[in-house]
Amino acid sequence: MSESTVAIVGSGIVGTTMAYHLANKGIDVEIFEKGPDYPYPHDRQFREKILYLYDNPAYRIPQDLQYLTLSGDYARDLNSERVMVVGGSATVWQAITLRMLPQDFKTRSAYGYGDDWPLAYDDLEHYYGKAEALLGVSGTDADNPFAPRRSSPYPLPPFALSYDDAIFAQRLQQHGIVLHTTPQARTRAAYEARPGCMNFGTCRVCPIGARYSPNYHLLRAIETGHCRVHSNTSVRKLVVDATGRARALVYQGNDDGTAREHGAKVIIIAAGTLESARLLLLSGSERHPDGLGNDGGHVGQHLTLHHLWSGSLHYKEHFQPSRFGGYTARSHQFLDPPNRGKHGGVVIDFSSQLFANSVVFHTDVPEPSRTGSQVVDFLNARRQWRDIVMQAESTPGPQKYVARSTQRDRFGDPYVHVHYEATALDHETYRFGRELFDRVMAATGADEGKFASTNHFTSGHHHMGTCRMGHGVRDSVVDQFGRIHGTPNLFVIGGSNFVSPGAVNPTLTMVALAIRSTDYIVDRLL
Amino acid sequence: MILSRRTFLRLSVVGAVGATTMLLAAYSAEAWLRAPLRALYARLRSPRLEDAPTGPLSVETLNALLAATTALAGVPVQLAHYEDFFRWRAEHLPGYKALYEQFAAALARRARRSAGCAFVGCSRQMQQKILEERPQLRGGDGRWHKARVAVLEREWLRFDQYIVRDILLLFLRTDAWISLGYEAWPGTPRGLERYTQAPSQAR
Repeated sequence: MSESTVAIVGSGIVGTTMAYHLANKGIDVEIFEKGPDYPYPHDRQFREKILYLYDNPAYRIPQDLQYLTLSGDYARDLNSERVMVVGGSATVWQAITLRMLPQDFKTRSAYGYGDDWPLAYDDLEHYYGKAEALLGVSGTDADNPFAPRRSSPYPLPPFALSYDDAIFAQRLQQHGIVLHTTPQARTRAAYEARPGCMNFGTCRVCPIGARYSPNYHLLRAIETGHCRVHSNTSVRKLVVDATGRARALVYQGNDDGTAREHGAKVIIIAAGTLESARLLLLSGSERHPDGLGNDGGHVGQHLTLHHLWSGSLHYKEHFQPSRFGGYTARSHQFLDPPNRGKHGGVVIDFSSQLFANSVVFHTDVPEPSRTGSQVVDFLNARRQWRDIVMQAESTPGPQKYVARSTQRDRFGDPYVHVHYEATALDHETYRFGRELFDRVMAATGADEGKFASTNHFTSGHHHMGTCRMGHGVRDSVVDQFGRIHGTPNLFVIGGSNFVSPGAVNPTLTMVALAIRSTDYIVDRLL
Repeated sequence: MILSRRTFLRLSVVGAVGATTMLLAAYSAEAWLRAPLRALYARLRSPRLEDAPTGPLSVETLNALLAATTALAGVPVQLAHYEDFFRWRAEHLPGYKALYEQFAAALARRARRSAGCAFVGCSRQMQQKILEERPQLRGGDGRWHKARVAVLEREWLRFDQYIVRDILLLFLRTDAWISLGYEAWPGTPRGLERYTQAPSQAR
């Protein structure tokens, strides 16, 4: 049996954040990643995907290792929302880095829905600052009167609104809606070893590392000599000893015939919201027949997705969207609206970058284009449309959960099964989002608008819950530091810990929780 | 012959059962056949790229590809990134070098036949006409035309899927933006100053 001081399952932004901090303190860490290697900086991927339109299969995990079954309302391909490579989903993320509001941590006591977190915004505020420093966040609160209190400045200045954004901001302001800049993990200027953003505009595959990728810190962790990554390696189960301590994880090379054990003083599961819960469910034993950490029946429960409803607004004039590649205009004015409790909060994303996403990453020629002129006509017509997204919080409910699937992967282990049905409050939030869309339409002078139907939402790849934090076995899976109740050296960290999702993008909160838990582990356990 | 009431009823029941059975059988057969037929048609419409060695492109092949690019675009384009694109694919992805050579040869044949010129040497209008008249699947075409192209013109379907589509997609991501007055397209380092200012030459 191999051994290390700390073993981490998953090399995404949470796993690498923890590995980086641990390795820098001289603590030996081994990371187990199911997916393949993903080179950094991502210039090779940029050339292949952007210049040569080539989707390299070397960066894809076989389907018999990454799959899920799905039932309920969610109409999108949930499986494709998980990027299983070294570095995880944040190798291709949009890098919007927002703090949740203080009220988001106590929706039960403040608004009567969901549950309160076992920690408050103030417990996390210091770590939000650390997370922003780690990721190199560019931003300002000067134009955003709805931003929560902060004790440290943004590490980098903001990306200004685009020319088009400024036009819309002015129109909306006249109707009482504030459009402001977006904090994001893109370097407005050179930051540490990362160059300043040069506005390539293909941010999902930034060739220079201006848009943060976890692999940046993973490489630095490896350089310390205290961090090792096992790619193409699946963790199949966790083993607990008679005293209740996690003894080892059982892993297997994706193409190997033999499973092996790896022992560690501390084991951290950071495999994403769906796979983290799956691993606990697969780790059942005589002592924990329903899965590890599941004595209270909460593993897999309390799943939430963000609900992103897309719309388009048509104008008489042509604009020039997407001259900047990052995210710019959005409104946080409705994150904590007056009627919160009757419905949830909503972010209005009105960034002109949405246009490029539908063009630069378009994988086919728009029908019926047969010539360049027809392609130009298509693009020109699209310039009269402005895309808008209402990103809403959702509430946990008994019909939102993760369980073991009846189908199995190449090792014979059940895949994860996801069941998701929107709650009554979610439908009310849709109505609120629709009202906001109509307000924006009228305020900006659009002559036509299209808006998604209530069940036609995407999660924005924001999956939360399933191993939520709380006060004990009766209400949760882990404590406020991500430690599984009753298993002193086993942690689950990430979006899976969320008690309720708020409406803002979750990654900064995940990284802040990861840094906080790392400090706790170092202080108390190592 | 006069049928008794009983015989008539018997025959009626047998007839009704038989007709229902035949209808159900026909319906089942159609349902049973529909899926594989659809799959077969989808396969016919989307021929696979044949495996063949990678390698550098000849000047003649490259020139034919660039001439086709210019003709398809119909508006001014910068050819350097298309050239880079064709070279990279031919040198890195199995099948593309051979496909590009076959495409160049097929264009040359059609050009000689219809205009008496080498494709590269034909006028731009003639090149566009040759490309426009190539066998292809269009949305408004009838079933028989589509079936004929899918069965008899598989080479051109392959060209459309792996060459023409790529050219138009690359154009959509690059030169089309310039046509609309953008200073540069996404994928190039555009800097952080100009995007906050009014476009210099918006169309």
